Amino acid sequence: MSGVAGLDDSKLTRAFLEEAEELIARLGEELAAVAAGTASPQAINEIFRIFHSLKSESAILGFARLSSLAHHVEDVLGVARSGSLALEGPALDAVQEGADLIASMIGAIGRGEGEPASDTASLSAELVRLAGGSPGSAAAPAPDHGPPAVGQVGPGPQGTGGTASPPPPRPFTPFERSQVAEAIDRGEQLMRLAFRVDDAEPMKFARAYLVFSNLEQAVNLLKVDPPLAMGEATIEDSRYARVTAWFTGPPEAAREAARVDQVLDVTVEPVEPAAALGEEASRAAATAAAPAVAAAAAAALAQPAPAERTSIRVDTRRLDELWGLVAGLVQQRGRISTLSDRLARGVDPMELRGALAEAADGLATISAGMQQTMVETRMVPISVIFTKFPRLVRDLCRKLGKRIELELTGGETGIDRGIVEALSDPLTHLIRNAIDHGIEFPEERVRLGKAEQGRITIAASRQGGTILIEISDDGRGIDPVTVRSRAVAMGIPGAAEMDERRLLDLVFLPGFSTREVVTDLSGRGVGMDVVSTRVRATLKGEVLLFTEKGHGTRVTLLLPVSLTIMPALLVRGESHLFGIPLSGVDATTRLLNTEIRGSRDRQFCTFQDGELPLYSLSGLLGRPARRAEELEAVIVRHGQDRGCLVVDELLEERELVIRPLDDLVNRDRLYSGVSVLEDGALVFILDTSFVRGGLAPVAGRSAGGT
Amino acid sequence: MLGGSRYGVPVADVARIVRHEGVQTVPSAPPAVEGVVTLAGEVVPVLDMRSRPGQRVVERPGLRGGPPAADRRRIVVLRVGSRTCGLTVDEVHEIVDVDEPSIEAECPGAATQEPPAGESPRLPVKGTAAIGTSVMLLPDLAALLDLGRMPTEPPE
Repeated sequence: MSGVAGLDDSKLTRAFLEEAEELIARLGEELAAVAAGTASPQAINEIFRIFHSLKSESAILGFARLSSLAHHVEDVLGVARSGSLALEGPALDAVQEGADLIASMIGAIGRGEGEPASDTASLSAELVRLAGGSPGSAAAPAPDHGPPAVGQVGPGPQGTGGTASPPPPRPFTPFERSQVAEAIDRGEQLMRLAFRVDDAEPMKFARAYLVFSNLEQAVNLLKVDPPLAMGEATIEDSRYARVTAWFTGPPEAAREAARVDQVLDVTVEPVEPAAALGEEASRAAATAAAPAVAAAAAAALAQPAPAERTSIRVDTRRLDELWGLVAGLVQQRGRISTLSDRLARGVDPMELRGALAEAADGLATISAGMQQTMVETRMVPISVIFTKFPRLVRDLCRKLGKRIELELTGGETGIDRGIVEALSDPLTHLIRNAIDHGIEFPEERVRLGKAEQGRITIAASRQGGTILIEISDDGRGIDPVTVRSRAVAMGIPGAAEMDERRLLDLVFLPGFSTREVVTDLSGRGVGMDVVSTRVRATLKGEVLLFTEKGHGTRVTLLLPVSLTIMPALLVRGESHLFGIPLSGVDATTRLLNTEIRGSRDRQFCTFQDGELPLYSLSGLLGRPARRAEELEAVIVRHGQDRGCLVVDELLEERELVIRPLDDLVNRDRLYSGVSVLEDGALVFILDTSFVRGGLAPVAGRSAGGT
Repeated sequence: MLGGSRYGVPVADVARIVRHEGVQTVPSAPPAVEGVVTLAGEVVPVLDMRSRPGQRVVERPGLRGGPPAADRRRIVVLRVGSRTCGLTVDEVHEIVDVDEPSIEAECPGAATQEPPAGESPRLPVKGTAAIGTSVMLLPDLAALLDLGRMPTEPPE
């Protein structure tokens, strides 16, 4: 692991990001365990090792601030490991904060933004103080832990006499890097020569060029900054007042080559191979004395192209599984072509029936297996986002003076990568809400006869093709009376008579809650619209809210395991097939014509002691509803809204691979996608948001729902 | 060839040309949409610009002399930007070189001209090109794809 490795950096950066992501996920788990007091005695070694890896790997790639921060954390952990510092309280917080900051920096690098100029100074200072020893000797001076890659270079004799600050260094071009790499591979010592041209000399370029041509004869010249290309510069170009050249070869020869009139302050010095390409970063640091510039330069150097997140780590066992399935697929194909050949030769089709059915079965098994394996390769345990919550809770508790115990269960539940990423924000928001507005202050809780310490539980589980995440607290709950009066004040139609369930759904409306209601409402309105939009629109899931005044609130998220494959109920209507995602299906039922009430364009039916607005698939499609004695229907849900959708025929439940449907054919946004069945038939996936419109006509177009 | 007029689309915009088969209707799609066709796992909308708003195309084989036979009909799959869309045409002719200067951009009224009774399609046109002595219409593909974005009825 030397500078040589740092050369092929786009590949290396990607590998680093993959590795770092895993390290951080593990780190989160370990730290959560430490915070919860459930960590094994080896946890601290593991945490130390993770920071150590992060430090070295990022140093190799020139992420100076990242590496330096990891180093400081590592120091603290080193002290803690030796037993002279307990990993709890402020020390644990600082380590956690370091982990968070590193994670966010790595996130930025992963998005191709390069190493961010995050403010690591105060945290680093805190870490240094912690590592300095026991609180008594806190004033011990902190050793300067520079990141190794840059640190080894040292400032060097850069101030070669000139007064004008030099232009920012140019990064090595890929060609120049490869040249450096080759030279290092050959075991040659990389050297740097710097000089300036006398201020009084008008033809600076000419002087520099003389040195350049001499050098070319004398040594293996790798790079000159600024580049000395004829035609690019004028003879008088003042950029050539200071020139730096990198080369391999005898230093005396180089010095001799620079013996040119008006060329002053010639320095020749070796450059550490390990830091060969960290050169510019350190130079920038020395001249500009601004760490941010150094970091930016280092990042720019290490990342010529944005590293797009195009690769994921896949368990090789999964690949083996997939390979096995592909082998099976090839075998089945062979069987089928044999059958086809026999048919072509005039064999009685009836004879082949059994064999064909077998081949079809085989294919079905294999394709199901492939689908399953592919889904699983995209799965990550939901704990990857859980891990940051203990700290969020601890931080907010400290700020607000509350006492809350957080319980996380079901972290092992697998969920699609894409979903997990989009889920982090809504979950954070829900927890923040629960802490901020749900859980009462300790004194108040005692007064109410509750345990002094509040409790927030996040439980994830999988039920079939649906992931269930429940965020519950034992706080003060939401008072429907307050919601109602707020709704009435906002002029929401029907708010005065609305039943409690619908009333609570108003909390998800944008702008429902304002500052003055926040406290009354336990603040559940703020940002809840964001939560519901994200979950419903982006993740095709559901948000349900249950609350009991004085006893707490529970928010349930129902999410598909995967966005591309989801279980759906197949129905038929107007001779087309439709799919309703199971997350939007409450029940299926049969309706007698006599159970339908209401006028022609506003009909209801009774379902489980409640009245539901009645829709029909035909009606949604703009066709007249069919009449029959007995109708098949689906109880469809969208958020808190439910409706009864009459279909022509209820078919089976199936896993569907969802494909996008162009707006051109989906102008009413009636569908959220389309699926192609094995026989080529299309299944249009209904977007259940049509029930949100409240009462809608049974016949005629009602998809707008506004 | 589309409804008796000759159209030209840039070869670069054509992803592929397939036989007109396997088009499945989409319930509640706008009238200009004939349906969708599944091509290599992708569900591609197919526009039939021979139809006029609110009026379905009726098969009339053998009308007007020689059969505009169904087996000469093709779907020209266009890729405009990130979107893919099929266009049903009566016939696909040939690839011709169009001289840049012969292109007359924006021939006013071409798109709005009332087509001859029941003949010409309502394909948005952005210009014409002269091919020898005849004229070829150049459809406005971007506008074509925007058809799906237009509301069915004027907003309330």
